[in-house]
Amino acid sequence: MSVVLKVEDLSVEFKTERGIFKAVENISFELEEKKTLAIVGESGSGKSVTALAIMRLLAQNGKIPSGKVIFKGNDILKYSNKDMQRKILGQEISMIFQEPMTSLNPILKIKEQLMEGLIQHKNISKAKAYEAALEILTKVGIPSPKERLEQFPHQLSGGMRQRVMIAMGLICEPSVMIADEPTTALDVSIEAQILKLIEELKENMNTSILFITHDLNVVYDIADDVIVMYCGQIIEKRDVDSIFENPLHPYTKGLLGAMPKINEEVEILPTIEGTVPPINNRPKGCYFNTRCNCVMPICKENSPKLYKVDTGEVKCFLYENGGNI
Amino acid sequence: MRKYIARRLLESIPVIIGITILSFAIMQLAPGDPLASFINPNISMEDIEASREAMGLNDPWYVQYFNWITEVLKGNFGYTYNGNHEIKQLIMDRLPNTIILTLTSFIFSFAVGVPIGVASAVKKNTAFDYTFTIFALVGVAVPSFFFGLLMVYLFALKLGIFPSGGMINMRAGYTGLVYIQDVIHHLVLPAFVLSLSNIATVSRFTRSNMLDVLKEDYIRTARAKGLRNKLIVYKHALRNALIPVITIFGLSIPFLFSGAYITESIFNWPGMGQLGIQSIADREYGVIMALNLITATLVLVGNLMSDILYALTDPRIRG
Repeated sequence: MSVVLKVEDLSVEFKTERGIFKAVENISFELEEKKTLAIVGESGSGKSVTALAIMRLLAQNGKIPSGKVIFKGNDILKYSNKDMQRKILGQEISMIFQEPMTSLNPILKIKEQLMEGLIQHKNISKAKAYEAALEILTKVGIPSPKERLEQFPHQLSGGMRQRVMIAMGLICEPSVMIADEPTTALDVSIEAQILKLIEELKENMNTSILFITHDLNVVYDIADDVIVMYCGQIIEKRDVDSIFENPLHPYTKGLLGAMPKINEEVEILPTIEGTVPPINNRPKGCYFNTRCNCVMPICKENSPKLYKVDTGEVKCFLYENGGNI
Repeated sequence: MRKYIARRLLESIPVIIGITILSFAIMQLAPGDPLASFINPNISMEDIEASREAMGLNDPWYVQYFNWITEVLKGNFGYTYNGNHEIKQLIMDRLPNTIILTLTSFIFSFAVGVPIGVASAVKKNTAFDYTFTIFALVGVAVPSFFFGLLMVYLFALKLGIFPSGGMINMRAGYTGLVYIQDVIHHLVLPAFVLSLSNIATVSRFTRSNMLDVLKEDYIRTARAKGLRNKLIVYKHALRNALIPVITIFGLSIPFLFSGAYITESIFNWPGMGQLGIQSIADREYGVIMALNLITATLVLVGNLMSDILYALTDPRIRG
């Protein structure tokens, strides 16, 4: 399998009035062709920031002090904003967002919003772009696409809008699509439809997907590989089957333990004690040591590396010797 | 859409009638009457009282109002008490000049204000932005009579680029294209003075709306699509940011129209300003009411224009 997108040692920091805060710390991962890589984590774990950093869409006070984002052999972090616009965004790497209600421009027709990227990137005629827009709307399963093209976003339901967003993300046939919690704002039955659609399109269109979510059920449904993030760091990186069968990091174990299971009756759902340490007050050593139930003296002193295990990597001293304690 | 406009037009008829009733009543509450200026030692109080009776000024205000409105509906605006001039003619001589001045200032306000606002928002917190922030502050704070005199001093007296007042060069007797050029030459200073505070308001309003819109999710979507900056700013952001600016669009028509009174006095512009001020001093009820009627109509037309523009730019309002 060839790698489409490779992130190396990427860090992101935000400059605020109260100082500089690291939102993402030295993360590395690879996205393989035609695969879905899920990034899982709580709010504030840095998963969305990672996506925005790849797209170079960070807020103005966001800086990338180190790292590489290698797309098809080129480090696109070195590209100028113009080059990003001309060569990468929308056509090679596209992105869909969490809020379909606010992510579409309210005063432009659907066809306008679908066609404009195509016209700019592929330099084709309006008529051709219209054909393509019609085709992609059909592909994402929107009924009577011809009428929909002439409508405005407020005339569509949430699920329909997210389908339009996906169509917009795929119209230039990108190699990578980043989906930032695309189903979080939708209700469960629509969520299932959208996930199925993303799966199908990935197969048909040769697109790799970087899927960001906090929902483990979604991960199980859609991902090939999983990255678990905590406080801006990757703490576990493994394929989907092994992580669900046998989670290694105490945090991952806690997360999976907190998932309600349909065939088990429990009085109290297990939780991870405590809260995520705030970005301006992270503990010394392993960031999880304040909440970890396997905490050792060393965890309070040093930060563990990502140790290799049979099926991936884990950032925990328990696995310092490949898990053989 | 057409139905909507028709309904709005019909709705404005009772509003206009209401405005005229109110302004007529308020005007009558003010002390003094048109005959005050005729009083001199050679006229006896009885004669004045007799002519007051003859002019119908002793009738209750609602009778006077009724007499006035019935004539107006026939297209007759009456004659002035002083000099017996036809009011319609008096206004028609001056109204076009005021419209030229107001319309120019109106176009000026938005043609200058909107681009400044957009540029300030895109270049937020730069020297450019700060310069125009100060400019806007000055534009709103400095009263037009002072700013007008300043402009006259600077551009007319010191630099001699523009004439200090009037609408045409009386001595030259220009015709045709040269005449129009001459009018434009005279128009620049008063139009600029009149639009200054409006330019300031429009540019600040556009700036803050642009800043809000640029934070919207759909702008992030547009950036993620890799669209050119120009397309993002003008097609995606500006059109959304202009929706609230339309409110000022409608409000500024009557604002400029009444502001013209002062500017016209400074620049000796032969518009309705001086006529209006003189008529209030002389209690020329007919003229005052005619001017009220025009202003009220402009307010309503401005509001209607805003609402139509809202519907045109925002499909959510169109339904």
